[in-house]
Amino acid sequence: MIIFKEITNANIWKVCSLELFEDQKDFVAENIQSLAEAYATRNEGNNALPLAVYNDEDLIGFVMIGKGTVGNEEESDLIKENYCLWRLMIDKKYQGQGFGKQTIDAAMDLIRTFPFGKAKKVWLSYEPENTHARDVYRKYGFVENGEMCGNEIIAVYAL
Amino acid sequence: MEKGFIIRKATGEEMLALWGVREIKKASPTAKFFYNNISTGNTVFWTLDHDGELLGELYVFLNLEDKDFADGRNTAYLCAFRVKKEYRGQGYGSRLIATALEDLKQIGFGRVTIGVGSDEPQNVRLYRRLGFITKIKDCHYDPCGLDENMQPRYEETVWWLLQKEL
Repeated sequence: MIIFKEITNANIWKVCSLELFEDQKDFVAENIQSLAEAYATRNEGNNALPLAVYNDEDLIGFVMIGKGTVGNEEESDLIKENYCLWRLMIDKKYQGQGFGKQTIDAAMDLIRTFPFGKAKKVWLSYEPENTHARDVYRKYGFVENGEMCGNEIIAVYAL
Repeated sequence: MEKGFIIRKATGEEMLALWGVREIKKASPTAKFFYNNISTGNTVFWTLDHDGELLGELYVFLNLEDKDFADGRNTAYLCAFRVKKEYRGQGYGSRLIATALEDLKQIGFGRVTIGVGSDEPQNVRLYRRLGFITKIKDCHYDPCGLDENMQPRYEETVWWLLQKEL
């Protein structure tokens, strides 16, 4: 079963040493960078929740959810008012076993408890070249709405 | 902690007094269930005590029929967590939970569960801050809230079983 744990001194360096395959590295920020972003976001009073992903006892990945601003200069109402599946990665050792889908499920379950208050949608973004992410999230029910976040395509899921 | 305040384990009799029950015979099914479980040691009653007055309560069930809630060795269930209104927002609740969790860890438990109503956004936020960040399932029954037949009572509103790793 997929469970989330807080990032603490007990797991932070293990989380930072989780790795993707070479050809995936351009598509997802390193976990240490995501943690820095989460720190900055929280310092400004906004919502970022970085989490270590475990399959029972094994650390298999990293996920970060947010709500409201993600620190860009111009942000649409969609971004300002809704949840964001900000980062999600599964370590290369654990890919191809269905953990990505299970982690999205667990993250959506957590979002549906509205830990940062009510909202109607979840959004995420991926680079146009990241066809794997595009397929996975489309299959899950995320729909591209035509907006961009920087040079990334935004896709939206209605809760 | 401020002078006069302590967090300690309390007895079934203290629970009955706090709930305004004079005699166990006249207690509600839920009160009986709590009292019996405290008596057998399956439930630990933690309280915030201020010079003998109980200002907060938290019950830790070590074992329950539904093992997603508590399985008697690794997972325990927290419930009836409350602090008197005038004393909220001062960190007493967090300390009450922290003490209970530390104790659970000492006796070998690795995770705890807690229930929260889908219509209680403030509690969801509080529990997230306290580290309850994995949702186990949707529930309509509280295993510790009983009807007159001593069966878990059906509740219309969905509530969520959340989990924290110790």
